[in-house]
Formats: sequence, C-alpha cells, structure tokens
Amino acid sequence: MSLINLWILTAIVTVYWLTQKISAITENGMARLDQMAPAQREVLESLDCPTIADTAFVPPRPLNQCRVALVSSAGLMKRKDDNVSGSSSDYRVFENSWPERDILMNHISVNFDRTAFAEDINVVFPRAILKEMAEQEVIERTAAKHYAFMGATAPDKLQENVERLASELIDANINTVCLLPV
Amino acid sequence: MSAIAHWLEQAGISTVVIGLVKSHLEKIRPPRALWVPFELGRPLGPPSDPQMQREVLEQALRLVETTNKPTLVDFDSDDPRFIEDTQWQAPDIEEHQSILDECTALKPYYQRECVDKSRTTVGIAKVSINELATLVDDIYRKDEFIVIRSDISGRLMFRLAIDDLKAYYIESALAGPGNPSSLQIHNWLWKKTLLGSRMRELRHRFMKSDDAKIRDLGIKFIVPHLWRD
Repeated sequence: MSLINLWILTAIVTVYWLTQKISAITENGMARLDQMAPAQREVLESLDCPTIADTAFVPPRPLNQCRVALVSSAGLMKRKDDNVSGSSSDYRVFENSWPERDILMNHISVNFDRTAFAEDINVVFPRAILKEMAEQEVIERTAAKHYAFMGATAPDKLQENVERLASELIDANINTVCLLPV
Repeated sequence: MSAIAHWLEQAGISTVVIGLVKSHLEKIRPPRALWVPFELGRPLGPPSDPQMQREVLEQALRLVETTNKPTLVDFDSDDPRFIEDTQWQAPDIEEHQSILDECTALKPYYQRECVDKSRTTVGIAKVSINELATLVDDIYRKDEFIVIRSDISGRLMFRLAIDDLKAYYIESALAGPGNPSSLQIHNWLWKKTLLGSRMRELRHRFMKSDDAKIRDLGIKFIVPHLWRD
C-alpha cells in the first residue's frame, strides 16, 4: 500500500471514529443545558441567581502553598447521623479520616445523576484525589475536615452559616476551598 | 456554591468552583470557576477514573494562581462514560409482582457490588431494604402513607425509602460487566423494573391528591425529568 493510500485510509478511519463519538454523545444527551430534558433546562434557566455586590478576590498564591478543604452541595451525611432536611441551611462536617462507606447522599433533588456517586465517591467528594495531591506536594496539605451543604437551599439562607464556616476554616489554618456543586 | 465562593472570599479564603451549569457561573460570577461539561451529579466527571478526576481537580485548583478577576475557564474534555457501553448487561431477573420480590432477585447483584466496592450508598432511611420494599408495596396497594419511623412523617419516609431503593437498584446494575453510562442504568431502572413503573404510577396518583404537600411530592420528588410521563 502506498503512503498516500495509507494516509487516506487513516483519514477515513479517523473521520468515522469522530462521527461515531459525536453521534454517541448526542444520543446520550450531554449534560450541557442545550442537551438536557427541556423541563429540566427550563428549571435551571429560571433559577433565581443571587447578585453579589462585593466581589472580593484574594490575591493569587502558588498552588503548592494551598491548604485545601472541600465544600460539597450534595447533601452528604454521615451514616449514623440524622437525615439532612431538604431546606437545611446548615453544613455537615466530614473528618478526612472517615471511611467512604460512612458517607451517604441525602439530597432532596431527583434530577441529577447518582450512579457515579454510587460507583465512586470521588466524583462528588474527592478526598482521595486531594490527599494524593498533598502527598505529591502539589498542594501544601489537605484539610483535616471537609464540608457539605444541602444544595437545594436558597443561597441567601446560607450566608450566616457560610460566615461561621469561614471562621472554622481560618481557625484550622485553611486558605483555599474547592466548591463542588452537584 | 458560587454565592458561597463570594462569601468565603470576603473572609479572605481563596476559592475555586467546579461548576456544571455554565449560565449560573456567568450570572453569579464567582471569583474563580472551572466549568465542566459533565452530567449534573458528577463534578469530577467519570467514576472509577482517578486520572481524569485528578485533571479536573488540579486544573480547578490551579486557578488560585491567576490574577484575572473573575476567572471562568472551560474544562475541555468530555466525560468518556457518557458513551453507552455495549458490554454492560442489566441484572438478569424475571418479572415480579412485588418490589420485595424484585429486591430479593437483585440481592446477589447488590451484594457482589458491595463486596467489590467495600461500601454501599444505601442507608439514609435507616431501615432494611426488605422493610423499605414492603413499605412501598403497601403504599402502592393501600394508597396511603405508613409511619414506620416515629421521628419522621410517612411522606418523608416514603421519599427516603425510594432514594434507598434506587441506590440499591443502581448498585445492583453496577455489578454487571462493563462500564455503563448513567443513561443505561436509569433507562433500565425506570423502564424495565417494577420499581420504576410503580414509582411513575405513584407519581401520577400523588399529583391528583387534595393535599398540596403530596402533590408536590408527586410533581418534583419521585421521578427525574427525563423519565416523567
């Protein structure tokens, strides 16, 4: 086979592969707004987003000086604790050392994927990934505690407890937070 | 989450948001955000893919080094687990007349997945799966809520029960070969199982209730948008 024929064959295979991939993604309904169920898209688009006047911005710092805590909105709870109310404005605390099997999801919404969380908690609450980054000194350290809110609660009801969380983080000498909505 | 970012930043803590709905990030404008093109419910993307999860988390955290205020960056890879896996097989169970029997048939799959993952996400109702299945069978048959935990209402108990039952079915589905997309698992759960068909039927019953709270339960909190009829 000549080089030109080989090149044409490679191009055809590549185009076919890309077409198949795009087709599969489209058929499966990508999670971007324009590819969601219309009713769900409408709900998300009509959500009242808060306007924050004071847009504070902490000066940049090197990643290897970051002491990082995770804050999820997945309505997580410890297995033996009380259930999380659907309108809770409080947050739950999760020791870094607690095993994955002790962490459950108690979010009120049925409109997000839970299969991934069932398979691997790190898609929602990536304590293990963060720990690996600390061990490799990519970040300075991971927090001893991480946190979760109930994401269905209106943001304005959370502010008081976020301020309490901020004090807790500062007391623990945490300087960086990664926020993880679901 | 984006509002929380603003408030934490006001307290002097650097924040990064890993956001799933880009229009919300554009409206609330958190100080630093990484938009990820993944399904709602999986901000770090594909399960059981620590390498890609690490890419997402590290790219997000690197935004603390930027001077641009605010910063919104797109993550440029799609979730490979969105694509249907033809190797995956749903649990091979016969048709059953009760959710309790269906749960019993799924038990070997569920147990295999629990052993494989050393965890289960079933447990928020704090009642055994057999009791939850019986509860939902009874609610379906009697058309009334039943209180089995003294600290919560029958209506809330029902919601916790279906969340635990769905988790039980999802984990049973994950025991099969291959790496299914969420759509494959949910199509099986909502279209091929007795639990799915009964939940859809109960939803319609609740939506006709004279009680506004029960109507609300039916409208919003049983069946996801994509599988509502």
